Amino acid sequence: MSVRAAVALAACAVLAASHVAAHSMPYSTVLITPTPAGLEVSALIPLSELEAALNRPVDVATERAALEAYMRGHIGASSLTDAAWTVSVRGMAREAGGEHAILEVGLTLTPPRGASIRRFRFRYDAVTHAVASHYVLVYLRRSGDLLPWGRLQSPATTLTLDLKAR
Amino acid sequence: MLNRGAWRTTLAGATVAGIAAMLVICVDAAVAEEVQTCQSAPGGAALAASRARAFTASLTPPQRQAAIRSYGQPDAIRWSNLPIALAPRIGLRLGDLSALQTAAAERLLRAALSPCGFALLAEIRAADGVLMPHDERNIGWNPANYFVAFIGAPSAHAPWALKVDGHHIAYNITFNAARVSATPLFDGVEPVRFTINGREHTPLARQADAMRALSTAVSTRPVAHLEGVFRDVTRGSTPAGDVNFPIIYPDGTSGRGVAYASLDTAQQAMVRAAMKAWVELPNSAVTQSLMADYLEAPDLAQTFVGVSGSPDLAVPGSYVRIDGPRVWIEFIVQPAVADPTMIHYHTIWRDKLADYGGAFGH
Repeated sequence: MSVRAAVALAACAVLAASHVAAHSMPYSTVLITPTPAGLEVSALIPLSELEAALNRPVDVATERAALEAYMRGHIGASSLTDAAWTVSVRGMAREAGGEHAILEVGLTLTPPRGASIRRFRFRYDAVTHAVASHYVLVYLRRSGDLLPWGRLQSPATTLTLDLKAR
Repeated sequence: MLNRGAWRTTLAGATVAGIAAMLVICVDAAVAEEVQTCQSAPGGAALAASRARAFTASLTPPQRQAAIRSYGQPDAIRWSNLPIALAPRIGLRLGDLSALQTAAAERLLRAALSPCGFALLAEIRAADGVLMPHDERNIGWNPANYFVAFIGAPSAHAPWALKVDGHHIAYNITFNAARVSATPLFDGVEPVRFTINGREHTPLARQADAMRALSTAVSTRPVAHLEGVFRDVTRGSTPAGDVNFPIIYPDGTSGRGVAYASLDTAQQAMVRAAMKAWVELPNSAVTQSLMADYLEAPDLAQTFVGVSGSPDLAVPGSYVRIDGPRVWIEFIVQPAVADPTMIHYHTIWRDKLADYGGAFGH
């Protein structure tokens, strides 16, 4: 799959998730791009599912700090030696409107100095920690291809990756 | 904007297209009135194969090419519960068949399904007809938008599957495969209650009543309550099909609900009755085979019932699940889409070993 196709798929994921939100499609999409310094992650979360997880309405514009803290608490990576990676939020936006809204969050995951960036355990349980019917489709972007990596649904929260093996 | 409950009791305001669809609905509604029992006439797989071949013989070559797909996982998993604009289907649209072809398709469905399964398809399609005048987003609410496809050419001996698929229903019935199979089977309905020509329809009442009785009975047991919030079935399909197959299920003995073995005799009977409400939808020969498997003592000893939300299944988020070594049935109450002040149902029956005939993904 080309980069253009990967971008198109990501856009489709947003549109599809937004379009079927009225049918309570219970999934998020996470796109992971390995970089020389770590991972760049884009998480696309149906806002209605996030609100169900938090059991309250969410206003992205006024709750940015709280939502960033929430995301930092529900995403992570660790080396196979259990050394935790740092997580930072690059940006956050509310896409589409009304009942079809999507929260898009960009994050950077950085390994500790000396840790392998090719073998790690990815952890993600935003929404799934509270909404049993929610699932997360995780894609890995490599060399212009967008590869399905795995699916996370409670109680599963981690995927282990060895980039050398893929 | 849809007036609250406007579609609950009448079809007033239907468009011309909607009126045309009502002709289909009326036929189907009449069929539903015939159902007194879920017991099928004799015939089983051989009769289904014979009638499938008769149906495919009635098709034009292009129709036949569209209907008969390669036997394999890629097309087998192509189904969804969503309206067709959100999840395109494979096969032939029932609304595009001629009268002769429709009659042949009906004979096939009567062989592959029990009278209850046949009536449920008709009533779920009728419910889409009730929604049709309110399809402002053009997502495809329409009783004509249901599809039939064959995964593999129908045969008396070789593996093949019948797929009937549209908004709120997916029948995947596999014949001559490693395992007797009528799953994955999705059924749902909106509105849950409606009236056509003075007759009230409640398509999933048999399943809802069974799950309501079970949920009410076991909800007094704290161990029956599952963790988390439920907003849909957890092992359903996706807009791209059943791409999560093979499915991963909970294991162990904790977090799955209350054990069948710890229920009293009356409650255990409710579990078996609830299972049967789904397992009796395919042809009775399939029902008998699968119920016998699900009710074997070692299987029942490892079967659990989990609940969430309101046990009376009256509000969104109410959820019941039967989770055995093979059987997996989920029932969820959701807000209605056309009128969010109302509710609608999603349900799924899977078999952890026999989905798609046990042929793929293991």
